[in-house]
Amino acid sequence: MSPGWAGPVWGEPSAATDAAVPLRRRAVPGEACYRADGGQSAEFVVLAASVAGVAHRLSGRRCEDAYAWALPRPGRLAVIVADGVSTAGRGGEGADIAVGAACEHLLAAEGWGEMECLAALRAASEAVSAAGGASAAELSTTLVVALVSVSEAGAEVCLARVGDSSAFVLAGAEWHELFPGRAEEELRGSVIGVLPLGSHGGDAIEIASVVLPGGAALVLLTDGVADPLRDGPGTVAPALAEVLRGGPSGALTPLALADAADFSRRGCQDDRTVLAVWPL
Amino acid sequence: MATQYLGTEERYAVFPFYLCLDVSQSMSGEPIAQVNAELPQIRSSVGQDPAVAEVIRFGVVTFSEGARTVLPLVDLALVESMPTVEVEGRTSYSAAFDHLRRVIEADYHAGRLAGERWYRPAVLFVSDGRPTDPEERWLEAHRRLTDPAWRRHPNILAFGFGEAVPEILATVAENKPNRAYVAAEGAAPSAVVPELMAGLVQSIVSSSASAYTGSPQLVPPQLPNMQPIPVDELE
Repeated sequence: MSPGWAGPVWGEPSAATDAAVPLRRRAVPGEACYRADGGQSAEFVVLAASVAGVAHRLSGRRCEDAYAWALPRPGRLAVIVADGVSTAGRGGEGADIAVGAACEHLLAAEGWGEMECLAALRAASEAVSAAGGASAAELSTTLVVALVSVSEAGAEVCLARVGDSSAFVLAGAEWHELFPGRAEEELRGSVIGVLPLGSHGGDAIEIASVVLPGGAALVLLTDGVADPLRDGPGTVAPALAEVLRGGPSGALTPLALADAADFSRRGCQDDRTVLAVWPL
Repeated sequence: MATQYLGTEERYAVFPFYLCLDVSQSMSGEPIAQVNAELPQIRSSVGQDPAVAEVIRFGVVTFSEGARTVLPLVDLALVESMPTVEVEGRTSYSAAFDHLRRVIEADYHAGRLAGERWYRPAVLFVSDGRPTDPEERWLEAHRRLTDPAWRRHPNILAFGFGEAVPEILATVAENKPNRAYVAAEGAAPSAVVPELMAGLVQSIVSSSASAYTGSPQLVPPQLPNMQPIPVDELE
């Protein structure tokens, strides 16, 4: 048995997960490699987990993804996911700041729709700018914000994002991506949009909306999960769907979700975040 | 619902690197001997990081009057020994560029069939001289290799020493900043080649690392005895 840590193997296993994880010089709140959380209200079940990718774990770095949710009043839920840009330098801090600012903005929001979704995204951008000052680019991060409202018509969702973190509807075992997939699927390498937004930042914002079918989940993913999900239609996609099937009943715990998010797959070393919402 | 359906093929991401080596007559002696001494380092250095090793694919192309593949694009973990390269004749850049385009296209389609999803390929171009084929011929071959309409067009890092011409290397690297390097004036090939080969490893490892953290990019190496060739940065 190898000294490395990994969740289930989905596809060809990664050799990188065989190595022991080095003990970091310090571990403090806000610099975790593993996070998991969740809960249930009268209208929603939420489960979330972030795990540092193998590449970051082996190099003694924290998970640079972040998630948050806000429940400002019954029937309204906001879920937020960010992926700090590793090469920026302090992307993990930027992700934390962005989800925190969006969460605070939405907890105080009066309305609940596309305008608030965009306003939360801009509030997050401003918070990242303010925190970083002249070095704000070091805090670069993606962000996806989803506002869910429950009415008699069902669960309506409006979303906005900057960057390549994405959102899916999981209905049974079927995944449907709510934003356009990889722009150039075969050959990645293009620059993605990030916060803080520049002077033409509006161009980087994408919006989407959906009414969730009964029993379906809204699932936000960073690209550490979204890419292998797209690349693994016979492995990652059905396996993660099966794991999430236990969400509404309480059979799936946050820790079990974190373990699943830590799946081993060749070439998939990025930080990973899964945040799932089931309207009840 | 504005939906995007998932694919049906199981795929794994790979980052292809092509080392394109000038083996013209001027490389004879110490430079080619050092290249052969350093090539195995690429395999061992990359293999030390399992996270990098499972992403990269590496191939070696040499060129002189003609061009050929001396190491087909491969997972370095499966290579038992690296090839040795030999000095040949003149310096045809067009042969190199035409060969690279054919090889990349063929490798891409073979990779797709094998379930690979490619990051944009990288070419590490190394030359110690100026092209001996007509300028319009190698420029045309370069245009075909870098044609944005060809979806597999690679990113190119160009390195030169000896008689290499900075302006020509900058053209090979598409006049992009920090993509073309030339040895410091007076630097002997015996000092430059080992450093260059170590730098190539550094570039491969750093670039692969950027891929698995979600922001794939071609990372130039740090080369104390080589200087980036300044080029205009276009909007």
